[in-house]
Parts: sequence; C-alpha cells; structure tokens
Amino acid sequence: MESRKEEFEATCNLFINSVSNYFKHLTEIDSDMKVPYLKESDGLVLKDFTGMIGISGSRQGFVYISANREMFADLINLFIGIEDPSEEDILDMAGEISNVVAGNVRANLGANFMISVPTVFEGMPEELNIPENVSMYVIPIKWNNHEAFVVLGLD
Amino acid sequence: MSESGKKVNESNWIVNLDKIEDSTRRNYFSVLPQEQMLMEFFSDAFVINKPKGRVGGDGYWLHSNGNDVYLALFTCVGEGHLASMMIRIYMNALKKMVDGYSIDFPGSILQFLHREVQARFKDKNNILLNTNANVGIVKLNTTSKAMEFAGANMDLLQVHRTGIKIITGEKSQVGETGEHRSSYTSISLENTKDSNFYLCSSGVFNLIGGPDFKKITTNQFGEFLRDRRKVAMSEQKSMTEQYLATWTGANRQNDDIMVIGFKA
Repeated sequence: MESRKEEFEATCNLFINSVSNYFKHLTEIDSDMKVPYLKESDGLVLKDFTGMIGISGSRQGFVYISANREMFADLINLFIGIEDPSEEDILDMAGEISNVVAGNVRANLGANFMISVPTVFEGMPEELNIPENVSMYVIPIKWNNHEAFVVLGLD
Repeated sequence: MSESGKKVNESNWIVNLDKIEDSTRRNYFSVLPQEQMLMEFFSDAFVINKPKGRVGGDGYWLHSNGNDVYLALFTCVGEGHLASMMIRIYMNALKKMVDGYSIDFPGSILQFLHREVQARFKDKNNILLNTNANVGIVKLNTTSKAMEFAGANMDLLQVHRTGIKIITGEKSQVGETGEHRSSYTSISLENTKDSNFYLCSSGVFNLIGGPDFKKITTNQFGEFLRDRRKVAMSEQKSMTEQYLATWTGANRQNDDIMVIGFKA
C-alpha cells in the first residue's frame, strides 16, 4: 500500500515539475504552486479550457491542465505575438502546453505507465465520464496572475 | 470554477477519453477545404492529410475566380498546435488577398503571402514560433487547361507518359522575417491535359524507413506514382497511403504528411 502511495506521489511530482519547468523555461516567468489538496467530492475541477491526458497501464487515470482564456491568451502573445487570439488559438494553446507536459512526463514515467495524446476541450463535454474509485489530487498554480489547475486522478 | 462529471466503471480510461472529440482536431480539419471540392474544378483529384499528432502544420487552399482555379499546399515550419495556429494565419492572409486584391499569378500570390506574414510578425521579437512555410501554388484555367506553378521551397511533380518531371520552386520559403528579399517566378506548364500532378509536403520526404532505413527521395516517389499513372486518383490515394505506411513500417510517423494529386 505504501508503495502505491509513493508511486502516486512520484507521478504527481513528475507532472508538477513538468508544468513548473514549462513556465520557467519557456516563459521565463516562474509559476507558483499553491497547496495541493485531495478532492473527495464528485466531479471535476475545471476552468474554461482543458487539455486532458489519459493514463493506463498498471494504474488507470488521467491528468489535466485547466485554465481560463486569459492565461492561454498571454501565452499566445508571448510565444507567437498574436494579441487578439481566436477561440481556435486558445484551444491550440491549451493543446500545446498539455502536449509538452505529456511528452516530458512520458519520457520519465516507468514502463508500467502509458499516457495518451492530450484531448482538448472547452467547458465540460457531456461525453466525459470519469472512472470510479479515482482519487483526485488538485494542484492550483498561479502564473503571471492567472490561476490554473493541474489535476491528477489515479485509481 | 465549475464542478461536473459522471463516474463510470471504465476499464481503460484512455479508450474513454478517445470518445471525446478533440476541439483542436475539429478546428484544424474544418479550416481546410473538403476533398470533394477539388472534384468540382479538377477532372480527378485526391488529398492525403495525415498529421503526426491530432493537428498538423500542413494545409491547403482552394479558390476559383471565373475559369481560373487556384490550389495551394503549404507546410508551416514546426508541428503540432503552434504550427496549426500558423495554418490559420496563412489561410487568413489568402482570404485577405482574395477579398481585397486582384492578384493573378501564382508567383505574385507567394510574394503577397510572404509580405503579409512578414509584416504581421515584423515587430515581434523573441517569439517561439517559426513563421516560415513551404508553399506550392498552381493556377489552372479550367477551359484551356493552361497551368502555371510557383513554389517557395516546394516542387511540383508532373507525371506524364514520357516520364517524370520535377518542376522546381524557388529555394526561399515564404514568411521568413529576416531582411532578405524573396521573389517567386510563375512557371508555365506543358502537357497539362494528359499529366498527373502532385504537390507534397516536406513530411513525405522526411519519412524514414524502406529497405535501407532512409528517407524517400523525390525520384523514388515519382517512380511509384509513374507506375500507377493510369489508375484513378481515388485508387492512387489508397495505394499512396499504403506505400507510405509500408515505407514507415514499424517506425513512428515523424512528420506531418500531405499529398495532393490532381489531373487538369
């Protein structure tokens, strides 16, 4: 049981570090990780736009990064110089950050885990079902005055 | 903050996640013309579009004006979501040209694109995106079948009963933000009525595999197409998809792939 807890924490740290490095190295603006908490009630904690990655293998689950339009708009301005991003641009930016994080984590995860290509969506798709028996670990992040969530759910 | 979601007993969460439509993939494909639209202007045609990920940096544009039809394929540098954003920038620049300017020649269209993209990113320093693209553009007069081509780091493959001809584009890409000047020449094509033509993204020639674990050369690909010259374009499409998949084998697709085949 202890080893599963350690595995969960190690997986959490991989995602936390990956998101933190993304902001630090690519935007040169540090992000601030707030106190993580375990979410016990039903449902997901979502902002406006979300990139979600599926985890399978020895354990099932997901991780997602969710933020509001303004944060992705700031990233687009920084990366691409577009000051008036469209809805499509915002979604692509959510996909880009999820992709980079997924790629970094994939390179560091053990062979027992597989992670999917991120799926990007706005709001909460009706078709989205979350597996039973999943504990969700919510990590609030502040970057450039914007709040985002990294949420890890593993069975 | 909103809270929502339903719980299910799902044995494979990745499969479950795949049931949700990815919004970026939908947006990427919806900005491109439908393959059937090519059939309205060309006697036969196909499009192969296989992004490496959910979205890609390859796109194509189709426009008609009287008896003239314009077809462009562009490969934005990079891949994934940032390149997909550039696709929209190129499509919007072409829309701006159609709405506000009378530009006839393929070379002039490339010049316009180059200036538009260059102007858009002129004062943007330190951005993490390459704004360049390889572009090939064809103009066809649907009545006379007269055809012109201009390329920015992209060639046009012409397959005729007499052999394969590679119509070479200029070396410089479109949209480079440096100070260098680019000019693109429109080339008139011969034997247009009984030839097949192919525009290919650079990803086709980046695919690694085959018997010697190498990239496909333009000549190899041209020979493959020449041997199927008389086959209908729809069949050529599936044969080309199979050829590229066989070439790649067990290796991962390492770049976005787009091929457009057409007959005047």
